[in-house]
Amino acid sequence: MTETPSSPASEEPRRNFMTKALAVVVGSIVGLVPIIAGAITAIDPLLRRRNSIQGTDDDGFLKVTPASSLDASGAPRLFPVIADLQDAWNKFPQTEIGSVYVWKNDDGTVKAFTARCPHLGCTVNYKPNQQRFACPCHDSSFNLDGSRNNDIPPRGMDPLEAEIRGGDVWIKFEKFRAGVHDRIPV
Amino acid sequence: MLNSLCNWLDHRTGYRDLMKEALDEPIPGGARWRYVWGSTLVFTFFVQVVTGFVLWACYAPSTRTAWESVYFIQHEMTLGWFIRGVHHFCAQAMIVLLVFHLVQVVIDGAYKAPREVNFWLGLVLMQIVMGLGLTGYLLPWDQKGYYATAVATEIAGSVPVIGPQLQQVAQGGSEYGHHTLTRFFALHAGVLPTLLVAFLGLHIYVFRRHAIHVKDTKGKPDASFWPDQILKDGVACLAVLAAVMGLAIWKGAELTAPANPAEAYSAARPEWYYLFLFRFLKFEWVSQAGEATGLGEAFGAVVIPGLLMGVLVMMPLIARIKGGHTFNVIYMWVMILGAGALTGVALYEDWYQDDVDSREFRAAVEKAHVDGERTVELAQSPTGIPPEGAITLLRNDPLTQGPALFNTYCIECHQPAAREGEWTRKVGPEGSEETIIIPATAPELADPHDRKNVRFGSRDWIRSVLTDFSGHFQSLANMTVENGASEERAEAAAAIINDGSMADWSTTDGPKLSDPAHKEAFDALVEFLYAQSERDDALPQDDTQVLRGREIFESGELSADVSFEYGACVDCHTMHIRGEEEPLSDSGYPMLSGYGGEEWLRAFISDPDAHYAGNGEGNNAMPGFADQLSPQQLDLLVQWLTGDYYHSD
Repeated sequence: MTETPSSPASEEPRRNFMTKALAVVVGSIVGLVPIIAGAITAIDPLLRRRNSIQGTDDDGFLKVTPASSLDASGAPRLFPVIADLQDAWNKFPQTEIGSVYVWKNDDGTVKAFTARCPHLGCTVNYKPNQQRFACPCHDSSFNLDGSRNNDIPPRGMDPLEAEIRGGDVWIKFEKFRAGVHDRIPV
Repeated sequence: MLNSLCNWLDHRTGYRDLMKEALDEPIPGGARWRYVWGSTLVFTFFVQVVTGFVLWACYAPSTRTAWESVYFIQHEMTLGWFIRGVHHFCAQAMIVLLVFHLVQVVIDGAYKAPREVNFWLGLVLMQIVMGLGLTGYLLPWDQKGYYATAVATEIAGSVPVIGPQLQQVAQGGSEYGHHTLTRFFALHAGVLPTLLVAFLGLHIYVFRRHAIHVKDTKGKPDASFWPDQILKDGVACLAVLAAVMGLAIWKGAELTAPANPAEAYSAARPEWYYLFLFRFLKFEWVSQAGEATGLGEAFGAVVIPGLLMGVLVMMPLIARIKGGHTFNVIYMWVMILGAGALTGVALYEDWYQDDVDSREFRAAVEKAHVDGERTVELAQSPTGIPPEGAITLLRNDPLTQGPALFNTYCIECHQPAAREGEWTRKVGPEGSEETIIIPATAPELADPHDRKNVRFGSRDWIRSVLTDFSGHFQSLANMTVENGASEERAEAAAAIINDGSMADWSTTDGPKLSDPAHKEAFDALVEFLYAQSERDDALPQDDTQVLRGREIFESGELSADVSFEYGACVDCHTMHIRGEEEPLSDSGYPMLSGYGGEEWLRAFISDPDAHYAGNGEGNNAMPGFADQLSPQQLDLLVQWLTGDYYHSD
């Protein structure tokens, strides 16, 4: 753009090219170094995975509720999941991290589903008069065994490992990726 | 293909004209290094915007999260320390470059007609950048930023008429709190940068309107901004970036302990580029003039700097007068030399002068470092930062609070040997300057300056008590009525070292312990006594060495043919080993059950007469502290002395 005959620099096109090339290189360095360094810090969550839920037993189980608080007739009940939470710099002892539906099987064992909808992560409600779960966001609907009741969600509700130990319900609380057919832990 | 795409884009946007306008600025006389300052300033602002956005994405402005989130950036996030360091030092580079830019403009006369307005725009930009520095300093909410900024808002509050309202608005209330941070953050990341962009746009626009000010082309051919001047600008920016990165890597941005309004910070100083003003306010005549004029602190902090700044603003007008430009240049150098000299004096006084104030300043800086590092250690410990914030970490830390309590309640009697003579008391009639040195009146227990090495209750302490009792408690000799002790205490102190039975025991039987032939027995006895404290590094009660020591404690027999002449330990001392049903001995004082341990020490400090000396049965010269120390304070003191605190290693 400066290579018109009147430009003084055009008398030395080679030197002018070198100046331009150097200017571009130096300009790129001073421009990119801060941006790249900043980008690395910005994607820190991808570079370091921090374990946020603490206070589980060795198998990842948490005590959720006394077994006596389950519905005697076997209907699902919603319980909060309480654990120690490491949230960035803070350590919150015994705080809410999610919620689960728990109910009794006929053989006395317990069944648990995370209350998080596999569609897009809202918390599903239990409709006792219809014996089904319904998500208030996009109308995903599930049967009592967790299977899909319509085709809005990509999969059935996510079951969680649950067992009764010493009169308490223990659950392995996990989160799964929403919106996909396969059940992939987050 | 690419060409036609560019043609299309140019047709729709006219970007080529814009580029030409931006890059083809002619530079009469060719590119020069002296023209780079403006560009480096734009570059530093660019760096601040990039790093600032990243920090913004990680920062939480409230009194319980500001320090904590900065700690997380600094110590946990990938390259967080680097981004913060670059932001910290680039801010300072900006101030330096501003001064260079200003000097260049004044020397070259670039502020004169027709560029007056641009000069004023530049001065506005300077105020904005200084405001950014001031507001940014507070955001980490650490001791350093908190106390430095408190001074700045107090100055705002001292402004006549509107001062108090100004201060309250800036602080978001009458005290520092959540809203101080949210407001300063809004100023720092929102209002001031927006103003800066606006004024920078005007500054560059007006600059281009009048073209670059060339003093003398020296007959050299003209060049254009691109690429000649851009290359020089780029190299200068590279140098700035290298310097800033070097400082970020080498020094790093400091994070002192979390802001604590209850904890005095004797190292309060503004950022170095405000030191000249800080030093100026320390002159007594400045305060006196403030009082005389009725302007108070605002006289030195606002009016005088405002007047000096006013002359700067007037420069383009002054230059119209004959000799005005010369005056301006001289004025500028006088300002720079004056500010430089004041800065130099302030730095010298703080860091090199050898007097009480300067030493105290350096000690306070050192303490701030230590407290900052300790808070980080605790934040990284398994306990982590509780929801109440990091301020509780130091508050509940025995290693931090123990020495502080010791300093308040214990040290005048239990002086560290290395610091004897530091404690004095005024004597004579009122108003007299005569002082006497207060002598130590009790054994050295610990030195708060060396807080990880506590002497009390250590193995060395036990050895010294056993083999050199009189020497160990020598300082009790100073506990006399002349030195201010009550008659009762003075008598007790004298009894301990002069005719106490332990002093006799130590004189007679101590040498047997010191005898190399009985080293193994002595070590075992020491281990047994030390084991009673149940400190972390003590051996368990069933360890063979401890059991051997226990044997000696009970029997007084060092070997088959040597035993203590004065009797075994159990003959005089109560000793009930924790967890055992039967005591080794259930009478005699001082009582040694749990000696040097937390429980023993807590009871001892609370009421030594009752717990330790059996209300007169044994000897004791120490007063009780139950009514002076709260249970929590007592715990912190005891936990520090017995080593019961979080160790990072």
